Amino acid sequence: MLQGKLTRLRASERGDLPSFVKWFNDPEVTHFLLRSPPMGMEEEERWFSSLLTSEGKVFSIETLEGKLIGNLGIIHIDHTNRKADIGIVIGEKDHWSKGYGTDALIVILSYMFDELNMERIWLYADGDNERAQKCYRKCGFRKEGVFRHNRFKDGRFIDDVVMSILRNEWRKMHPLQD
Amino acid sequence: MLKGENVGLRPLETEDAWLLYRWFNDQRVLEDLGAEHLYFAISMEEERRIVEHMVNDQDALWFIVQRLKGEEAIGIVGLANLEARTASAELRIVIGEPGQWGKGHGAEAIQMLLDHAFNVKNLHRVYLRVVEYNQRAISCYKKCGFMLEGRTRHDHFHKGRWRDALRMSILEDEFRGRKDASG
Repeated sequence: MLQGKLTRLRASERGDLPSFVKWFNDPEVTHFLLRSPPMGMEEEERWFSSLLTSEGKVFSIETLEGKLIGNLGIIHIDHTNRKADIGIVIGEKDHWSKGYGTDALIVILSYMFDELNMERIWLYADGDNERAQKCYRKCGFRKEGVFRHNRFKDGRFIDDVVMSILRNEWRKMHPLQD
Repeated sequence: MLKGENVGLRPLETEDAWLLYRWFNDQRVLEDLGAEHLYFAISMEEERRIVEHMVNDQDALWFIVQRLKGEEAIGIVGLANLEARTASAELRIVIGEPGQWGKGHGAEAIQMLLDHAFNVKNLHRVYLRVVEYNQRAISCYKKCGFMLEGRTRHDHFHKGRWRDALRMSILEDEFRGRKDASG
C-alpha cells in the first residue's frame, strides 16, 4: 500500500470490479478516456485475470477514509530503458477537481522514480481534456507532442497529447532528503 | 509447533495468505526489506499464489511466528534455498506486526530456526541478506551470532539512491559454541 496526503494506492482486488464496470459504463466518465461504453462484467473479469501474469500493474485509488474512487495503472514498464507509461481515472464524479488525481499521481511518481529508478514516465491525454492536462502539468509533466488523429472516438478522429516527466525534472521538484 | 519462551513456530499454511497480505501491504514493514517485493501493493490473489508456492516449495521451509500468549501471529521466518549437498540455506524473517518490534521476538524465532536448521536438518551454514539501512535487523542478527561476510555494493535502488546490502552467515560450530557458552 502506498500512502499520499489525500489518497492511498492499493492493489486492485476482484471485489473492485463492479465499481470499475460502473465507471466505464458512464459516458461522462469515459468522455476523454480510451474506452467507450459498454463494458461487461465478464469482460472486466477476464482483464483482471490477465493482470496476474502481465508486467503491468493496477492500483485502486482510495480516499484516506477507504472509499474507492478510481484506479491508476502502470501500463507498460521497460526496465532496460527505464521508462513506463501510466493511466489514471477518477471514476466517482463527486470526487473530481478536488486534488485526488494529483495526489495519487505524485505517490506513483515518487514510487517509480525513487524506488523503481525510472528515467521517464509518460502518458497520453485527450487533446481536448484541459482538466487532465492541467493536473498533469501540476505534477510536473510537460507536453512533448501531439499524435494527430490517434484514436477514433464518438464518430470522429481525435488528437492525443503526449506528456512526460523526466527524472531530473522530478528531482528538482522533490529534492532528496539527508 | 516448536515452542520457545515467548514465541512459537508453526508451519506456514495456505490459509495464512491473509496474514502475509496484511504484512506485505504495510509500508512500515516494507520500508527496510529492500526491493524483495517489486511493488508496494500486492493483491489478495497475488499473495495467495505466492503462499501456495511457498507451502509447496521443496527447497524451503516456512514457519509462522506466533506469540505463545494468545497465539497471535506476528511474523514469518524460514529457510529458503535449502541445499542438501552444501548443507546450507538462506534465512529470511519478517516480523509483520510493528507493535511487536523491539521485544526480542525476532531473535527468539531465529534461535529456534537455527536450532532446527543445525540439529534437525543437519545444515552446516545458514546465511542471509540484509539491507545496509536496516540497523535494527543487523544488530539482531549480530546478537544471534551471525558474522558479516561481505557487502553487495549498489544492491538495489531505494529512496532515490543506490543502496548496499550485507551478507551475513553463521556456521554449525559457531552455533554450537554459542549454545555451550550460554549454557
